Amino acid sequence: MKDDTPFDWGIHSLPEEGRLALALGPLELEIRRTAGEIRIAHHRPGDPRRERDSKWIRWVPAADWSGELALTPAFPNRPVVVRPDNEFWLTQGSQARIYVRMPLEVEIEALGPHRATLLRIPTRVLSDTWWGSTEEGILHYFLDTNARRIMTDAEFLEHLAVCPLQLDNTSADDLLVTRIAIHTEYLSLYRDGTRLWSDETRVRYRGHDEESAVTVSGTAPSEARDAELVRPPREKMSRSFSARTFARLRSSFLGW
Amino acid sequence: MELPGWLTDPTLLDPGMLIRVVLWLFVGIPLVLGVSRLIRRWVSDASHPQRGLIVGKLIWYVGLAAIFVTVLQELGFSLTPLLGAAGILGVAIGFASQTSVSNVISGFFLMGEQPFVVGDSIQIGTTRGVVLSIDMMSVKLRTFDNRFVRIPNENIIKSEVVNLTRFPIRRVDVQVGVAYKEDLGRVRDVLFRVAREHPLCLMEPEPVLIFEGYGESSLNYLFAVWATKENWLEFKTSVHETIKAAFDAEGIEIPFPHRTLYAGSATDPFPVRIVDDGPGTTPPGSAGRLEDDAPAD
Repeated sequence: MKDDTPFDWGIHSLPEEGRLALALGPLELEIRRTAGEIRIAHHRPGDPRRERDSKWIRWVPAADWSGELALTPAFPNRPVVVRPDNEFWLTQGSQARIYVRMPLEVEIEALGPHRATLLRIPTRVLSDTWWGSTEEGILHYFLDTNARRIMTDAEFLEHLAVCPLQLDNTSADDLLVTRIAIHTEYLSLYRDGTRLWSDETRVRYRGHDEESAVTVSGTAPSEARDAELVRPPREKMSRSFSARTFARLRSSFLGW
Repeated sequence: MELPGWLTDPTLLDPGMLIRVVLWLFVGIPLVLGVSRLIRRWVSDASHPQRGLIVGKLIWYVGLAAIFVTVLQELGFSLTPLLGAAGILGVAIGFASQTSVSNVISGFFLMGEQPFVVGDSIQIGTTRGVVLSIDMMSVKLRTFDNRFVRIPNENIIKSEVVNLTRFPIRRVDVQVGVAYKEDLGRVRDVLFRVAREHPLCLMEPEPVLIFEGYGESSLNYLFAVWATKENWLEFKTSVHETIKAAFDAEGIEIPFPHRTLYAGSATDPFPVRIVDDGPGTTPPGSAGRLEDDAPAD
């Protein structure tokens, strides 16, 4: 399935009996048009959790399908908890801007008068994690991050979107940053040349017993002012919301 | 009780009264039934199926009682002596139906306390299943092998009830034994790698490895890992398989007791006879086909 064709987000034509083989980060994708069907298979050779066999998934498109497929990036369909490789302290009153590279999903659409979404495939399979208490909470994805303070050109990859996070510690305590919850449902996706960005998320930490105030800018970040909007957020949010952003859930073995 | 006049004098039969009675019975009852179902569905959608069930039943019973009283009044019965008679009758019935009354009262406790709701998976005694309904007298379950079980409310109140799906995540406890010769640091690394790479294992709550003791033939650990309740059963099976595969790949031995039978000198050894396969094929004194007196396996 491996192909050296450089990956390109956007529209791809697929003639009858045609084949498209693309590599996007760890994901290898093959799309075929045969016998009036669209067939898609994917494979992640380097992933220890990869599927044993890559199976073909088949669609019968509408008769007026143009033969074109749109491949667009999308954020994961659940919020993501990121764990910095090295925990760091945010002293009281301090601010920090960090960058998290978020693995994207590929959305494949058949174009034409009857536009149809065929499939969404994560470029990288993220682990699940629980955010909340053992009695109630929300399922999130889990991602290790370097929590970079500076982004270099080499760190922009086509299957990763860079999420700038502005962290403000307005509490009277020092904050040890071990986990950060990123609400991808409120993030837009922007494209600046070959680089993909999310809006800036500002998180204001107000103390251990209070939820953090989270604000999503709704515009391209200052690092990519001219970036074009690729995908709006999945959910509209009011100006800001409160959420537990830095908490961490540990195993409870009380009584053992 | 004084009987109404129309019962003793057929000429006094009021057609209007008869029509009203028929209307109450044949229109009123289906109407109450329809309304109770409608409200049950509405409350279920808006809130929870359990609440919908209770509200629906309440409306049905109250409506039915109201129709019963109205019909009696239409027929000319005076309710006062009837209620008096009902009181005496109630005492008699009460004695005769203590179990039923106990079940009804237990049903109210169950509905109020809500240890489980419709749709939960529960275990009562040795019975496990999904709650189909919580009624005045009993709780109905569908077991996982698709049998219907009715458990009287009184029994449930007296028993320990385990709600398997109340909380959104559950822990899987994996008992792991490794050989004494193994590098325990490596065992730890392999187990945590398995958890990290398993698609159904939650990263948090973090997996925990607890040393449980020096066993007869193994060092015993408890490896506690978490999954969502929806994935729990699949995870429980697959994580054991994955650990076994990872240990095999890493050459980590999972020991198990070996038994060697030794008859001792007090008895004779098992009789063994060497049989030649043919002339010249087996040199004297070399191993040939073995036979003992017992039939071969």
